[in-house]
Amino acid sequence: MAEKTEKKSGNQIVKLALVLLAVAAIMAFVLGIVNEITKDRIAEIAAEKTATAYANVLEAPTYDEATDFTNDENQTITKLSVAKNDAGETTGYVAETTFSGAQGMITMVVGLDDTYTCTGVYITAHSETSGLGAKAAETTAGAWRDNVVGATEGTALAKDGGTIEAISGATITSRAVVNEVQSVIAAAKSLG
Amino acid sequence: MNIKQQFKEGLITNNPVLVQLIGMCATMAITTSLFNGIGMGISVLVILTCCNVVVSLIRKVIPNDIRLAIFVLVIAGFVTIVDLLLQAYIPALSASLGVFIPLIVVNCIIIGRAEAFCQKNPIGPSFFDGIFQGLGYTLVLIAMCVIREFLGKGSFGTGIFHLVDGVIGTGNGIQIFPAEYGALVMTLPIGGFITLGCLIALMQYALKKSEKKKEKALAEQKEKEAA
Repeated sequence: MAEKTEKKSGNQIVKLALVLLAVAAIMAFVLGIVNEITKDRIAEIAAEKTATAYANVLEAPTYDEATDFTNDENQTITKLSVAKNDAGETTGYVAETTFSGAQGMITMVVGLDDTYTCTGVYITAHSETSGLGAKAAETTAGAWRDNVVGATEGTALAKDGGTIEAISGATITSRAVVNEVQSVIAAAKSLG
Repeated sequence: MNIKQQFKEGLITNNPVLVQLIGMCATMAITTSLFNGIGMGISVLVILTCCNVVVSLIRKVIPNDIRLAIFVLVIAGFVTIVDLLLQAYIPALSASLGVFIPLIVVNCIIIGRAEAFCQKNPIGPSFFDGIFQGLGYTLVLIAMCVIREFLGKGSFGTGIFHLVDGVIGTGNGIQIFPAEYGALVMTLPIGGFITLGCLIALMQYALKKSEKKKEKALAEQKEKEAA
């Protein structure tokens, strides 16, 4: 008798597992189809966004990816490219970076000219507080990010003894952005 | 259960946010602009309706022991579908709602309705339950967005009016008073708590009042009958 109930509960567990498996398989199949439909478009949008960001920080006809640069200790630089003009001369550097802001990771494109002076920053993704840290991502004329243009090696926030005024109420975000520009300058210099 | 009653329940007497007090996390976090509010509301409405229909459809075949696991699986599937579609076709909304779209998976409105309603009711009512509860949620989001945006930034309809190049999600909205006079606190999470608290209080007051009115009418009727 005891054996019988045990066997039954064993069967039941198998049945439960099978039902769960079936539902999971159906859901996975549907998700696969939706992914197939949307993935090209999503990749297209992401590429478009990055292209806009590149052109925004440093316009150049070609960007050659560099691999032998020295990354900073947190490996925040995900891609560093050398911007070249039509004659093949180096006109500057563009880096894609992902680093920690105040509320989460910030993804930012940084441009430098050939004298390692910042030509612009462009935040493509972030989760900073709206009205405070999110101001760093504004791209309208006169937005805070314009203050970072012209930053060179050693440029820091006014609070840290430098020259750039932080966004009021968002020192951590501002400091993260300014420090990241320094990381990119160091990485670009390491290319020699 | 008729449609009219379900409509009234979803929007007023059993409103998911103001009466059932569920799904508050996203309510607090994303109601900073009208565009976000409408986008989130409609996303939840679509996901809720789809999940309700599917849960109601399979309610008789799924074993009771693992029903929650299956509900979560179905919800996660639909949320991912909506997330992918938003990323592909409305990238501005996907960017501004960010992690709160994937987080709809753990929004208790959806699992709550599946557990409380759809597993006991046929497809028709479940479908309308999804629509009306979703509408109730959307209306609360819109109310909160309008209040917080107005007090915080002095504007109305950010992302919907005054579009840049006609791209949805880019505009600054209609400025009613200069943004620098806005109370920044209203756009921060604190402002969300205060606004939601006030709305809930208002709702409870209104519900109590209408209840008393009904009781009074009922009592009068009884008196008349007795006389």
